[in-house]
Amino acid sequence: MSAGGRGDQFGGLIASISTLVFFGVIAFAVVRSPGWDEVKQQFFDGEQFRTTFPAILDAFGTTVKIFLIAEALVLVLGLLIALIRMTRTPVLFPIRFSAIVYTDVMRGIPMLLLVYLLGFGVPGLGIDGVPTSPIFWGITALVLAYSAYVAEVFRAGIESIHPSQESAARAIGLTRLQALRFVVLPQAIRRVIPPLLNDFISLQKDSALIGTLGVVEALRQAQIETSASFNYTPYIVAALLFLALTIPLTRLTDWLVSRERRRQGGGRR
Amino acid sequence: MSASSPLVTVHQVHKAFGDNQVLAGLSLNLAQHEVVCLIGPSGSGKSTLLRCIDMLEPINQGRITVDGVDITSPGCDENAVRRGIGMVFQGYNLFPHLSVVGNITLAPVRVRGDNRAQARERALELLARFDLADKADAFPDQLSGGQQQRVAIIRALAMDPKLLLLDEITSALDPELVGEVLNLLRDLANDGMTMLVATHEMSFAREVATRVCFLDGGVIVEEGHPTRVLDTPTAPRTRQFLDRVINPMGTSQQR
Repeated sequence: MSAGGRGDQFGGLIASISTLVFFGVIAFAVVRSPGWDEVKQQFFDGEQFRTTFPAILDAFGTTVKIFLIAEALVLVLGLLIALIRMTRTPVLFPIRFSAIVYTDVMRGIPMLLLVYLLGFGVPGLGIDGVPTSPIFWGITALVLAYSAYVAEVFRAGIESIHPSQESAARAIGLTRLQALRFVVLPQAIRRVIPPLLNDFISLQKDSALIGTLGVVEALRQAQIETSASFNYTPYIVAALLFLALTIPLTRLTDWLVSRERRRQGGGRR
Repeated sequence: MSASSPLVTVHQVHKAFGDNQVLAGLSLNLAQHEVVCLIGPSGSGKSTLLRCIDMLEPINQGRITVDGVDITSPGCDENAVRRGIGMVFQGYNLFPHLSVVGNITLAPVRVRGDNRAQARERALELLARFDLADKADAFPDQLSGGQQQRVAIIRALAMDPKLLLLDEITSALDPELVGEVLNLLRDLANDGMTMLVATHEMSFAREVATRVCFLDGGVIVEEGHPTRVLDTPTAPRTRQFLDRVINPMGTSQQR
């Protein structure tokens, strides 16, 4: 870009025209379709948009709360599981084995099923002292499933740090735990931030599944509005709110990935 | 510790990786202020011996003591042993996420519990002494190989070790950078630092070492004063090895 000569400008011009034509043709095809007027009324009703927006935005606050709590817990639990899976002591084999089963099972169950199982199943048991709040079990389901994914991300990151780093840390007197804490983990975590953010993007979307338990988050609120008016515009409102959060996060992730790649390509070794 | 007893004793040590017998009953004593160079073909057990003394590898058989402590007995506190020993590696192994000072002060602060400001001051002193004062806040990937290796040595010195183990520390360096690292080692030797050095630098061994040991097949084949071992080796295997090192392409007359 900085070295932009005439060739670059010309290329940019072609890209702009091509983009305009491409989306122009699609827009034209959609707008001229026989059912467009109907669809426009059903999904893109300006009046509906304005009246339902505040309530859905309000419910989106609950969505944000859900995934912020879930993400914090996922980080802690994911790291813990990764560390357990990486222990080598024979005595700890049972815990290690449980951690392996855990990651396999939790990654294998469809998210929605897990939400149902915990959200409807556990309170249904009627055990004294066990919380019955759907938001509690909804968040628990998210945390259990995503910790399994994030544990694998952490494990890959830790394993990507060359063993000579631990040797060097042990050689200057650090204990195994200190070597992990001050030498291996800081490097590993830096390396896995992009894939971690990726998982968080899908966690943010999956937080909508908690709505099926009756928790009024953005999607559930949109559903309520829709069933009151028989107009689908509220869904578009919810979709835009999700996009407003996930797109910046997606861009940030891509930027971090490309920065990491540049760094590894440009640095010595 | 009496002054006469050795700082390190290695007695009949065996170490195998799977079927590969790397140390085959090796014995070696190291007195205080000695600089012993280990030479020999790759795979002869030089690095493994150093790693065993630093307890980075468990041994299969035999006995090693460091400063009077039997480090091969089961109850031995490996962290305490390593605190007294500095080890430097072929690949520098600096911590890339920490600055030069961060690398040097990590162990003094976290292991010995030094005050952070004092540790930094001490690190700066060491850096200044070895002409690296201007690199204090640089990160490892901004340094040349020779500078990185010198920082790695300083990192080991920051814990005030009684013994330095140096594992082919110039082998990964560009030839023109080897000198600065070897000069630093010579300074340390002059200060009386006890060192065990696995090396291919015969000129360094000749000039700085108090003793040279030739290793082959996991045992010491020949040892003695540097000029004696390097100029008039008695064992055929030592002669063969030195011939190949001095004349790698084998063009001159044999012996």
